[in-house]
Amino acid sequence: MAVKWDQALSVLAAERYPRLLGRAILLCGDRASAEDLVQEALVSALRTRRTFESVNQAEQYVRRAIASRYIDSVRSASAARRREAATIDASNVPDVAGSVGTAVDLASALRTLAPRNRACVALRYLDGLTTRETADALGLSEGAVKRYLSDGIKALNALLGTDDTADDPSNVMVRKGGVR
Amino acid sequence: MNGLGELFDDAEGRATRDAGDARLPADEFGVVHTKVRKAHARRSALRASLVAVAVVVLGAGVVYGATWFGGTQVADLPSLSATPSETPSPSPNPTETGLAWPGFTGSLTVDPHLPSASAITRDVWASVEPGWSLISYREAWVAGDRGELGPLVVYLVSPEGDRYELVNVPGETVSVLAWEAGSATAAVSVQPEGDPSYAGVLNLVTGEVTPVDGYAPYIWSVAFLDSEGSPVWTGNDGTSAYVAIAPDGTQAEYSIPAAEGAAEIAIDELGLPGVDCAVAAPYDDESSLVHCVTADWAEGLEVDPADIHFAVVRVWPADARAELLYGVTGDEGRVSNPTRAGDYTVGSTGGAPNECSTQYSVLANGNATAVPGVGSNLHPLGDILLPLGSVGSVLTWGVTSGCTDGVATPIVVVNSDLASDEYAVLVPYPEGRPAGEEPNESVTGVAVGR
Repeated sequence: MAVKWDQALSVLAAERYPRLLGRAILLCGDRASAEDLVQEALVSALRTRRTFESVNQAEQYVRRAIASRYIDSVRSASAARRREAATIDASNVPDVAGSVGTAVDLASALRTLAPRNRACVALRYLDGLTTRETADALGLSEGAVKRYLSDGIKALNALLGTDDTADDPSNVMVRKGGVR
Repeated sequence: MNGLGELFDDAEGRATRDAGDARLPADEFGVVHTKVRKAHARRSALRASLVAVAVVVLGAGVVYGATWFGGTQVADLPSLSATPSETPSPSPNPTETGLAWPGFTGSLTVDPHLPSASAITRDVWASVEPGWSLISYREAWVAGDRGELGPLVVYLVSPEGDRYELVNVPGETVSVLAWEAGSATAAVSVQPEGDPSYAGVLNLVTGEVTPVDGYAPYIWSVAFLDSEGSPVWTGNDGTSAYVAIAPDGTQAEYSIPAAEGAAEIAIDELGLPGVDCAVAAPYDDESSLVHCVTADWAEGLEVDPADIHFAVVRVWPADARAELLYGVTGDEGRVSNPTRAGDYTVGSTGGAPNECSTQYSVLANGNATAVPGVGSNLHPLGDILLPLGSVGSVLTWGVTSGCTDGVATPIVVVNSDLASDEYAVLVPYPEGRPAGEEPNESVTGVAVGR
């Protein structure tokens, strides 16, 4: 259903907020930064259009804006220092490799990645974006995205015992019940 | 062994559960709302200039009237004057019948950023009845990097489009929300520069606003019309989906009657794979309007173009009964934002399936019949159509732009008689403004008198 931006904002602020916050926490690693990130992403996404095809589409815009704003935030030196301090060095995550396969492991492992690697793999696995789409969403070159994806997935494979590749998904399907 | 995809799903699910029932705090909601609203309101001067060029071209080459659907305009488009004449004084003879004269000053603001209008007189005021409208008007434009505002005037507008100035409201921007025909006060919202909006009651004689408790929506927040033809507003704090606002400023949460289970019944009625339905608006006490769209279409996957992809369905939940009012197959465009207007159901239609609507139509018996005035080039870029109120068979609606590209333009307000092919423009597109001062906003609020 087509919705105006403020209608979408009302629904996102109430019903979809936990999901948006969860996405942001995965990227940031802490709730306070994640709350700021969601607020920035809401403004960034909703100012682009006055109406959306649906609330789900508006949410999709916001989810991608969370990743792009996250990248923007770490582009500034001060923010980078702040966020890097929150990044857990792989050598300081002793239980990651030892308890492969749980969600906690993924969250911890994700925080060992540099911000750009983290944003790229999140958009690949959570939204099913291709390399090109990821590049568009984050304002990066395709070549850079390929590099970040490759490095990020390689690091996650090493930590979690998976064997994924950075190949583009051949048929991007959004999960049932996910964002449309 | 799980792949990274499954691990990511699990991790996001866990993070979402950890977020619990968190909501965006009300103060942060206000910050986001204000920032987005201002961003929409203040588009670049370049875009405003492009719109102005489009208006000039239209003005030179397009004849108003029946382009697609054979509408007949009952009221001439009010001509705009950059130098309005001074006001005649109010009639010295009080009318013996009709409404009491509240003591309006009877003055007329002269400014190139206002539409043509007359001063209010006792005779005019005495003739006011339901169907007359209050319209608050303030043009905004961009000069370099700076936003500029014209004077704010509240007009009384006849159903035929005759405008009369009631009061000039200096200072903060006011949007009329609700009004009882003949009353000297109206419910409003106020949008101070840099501060949160607030609700209030405007004295139409003095221009003073008395703040009241409650939510402060503005014209973009109309969700649909209720069974009386009054707008119902989208709630803004995440605690209430819809809010009804009375002319005295009192507010109440609004729930769509007969909504429980309606979406599921509509899904069964359509019987299409992947269809997603949601209650969109009230119909009456026993039934509601449900809007449906096929999920596959929304995802951009391949679908059968012969199938219905957008539909508006009337559903009686108590009887588990549904009636398809209008359905659109893959190659016929779309339908969205249905609402009732008197005895009619209207909705946005037309446009490509994945683009914006270009028409406003009466939906009935599987057909979409254009609302009178649609297709008459009343707005140079119109792709957003919104209901503003209805009395009897007359629907008051607005048209503006920004659906796809976010270009902000003024709202044109129209009265259309759905029982005939007649329409009248209540507020036209502002033409003839000084170079570089072409506005991207004009109408701030519309309240159709009950």
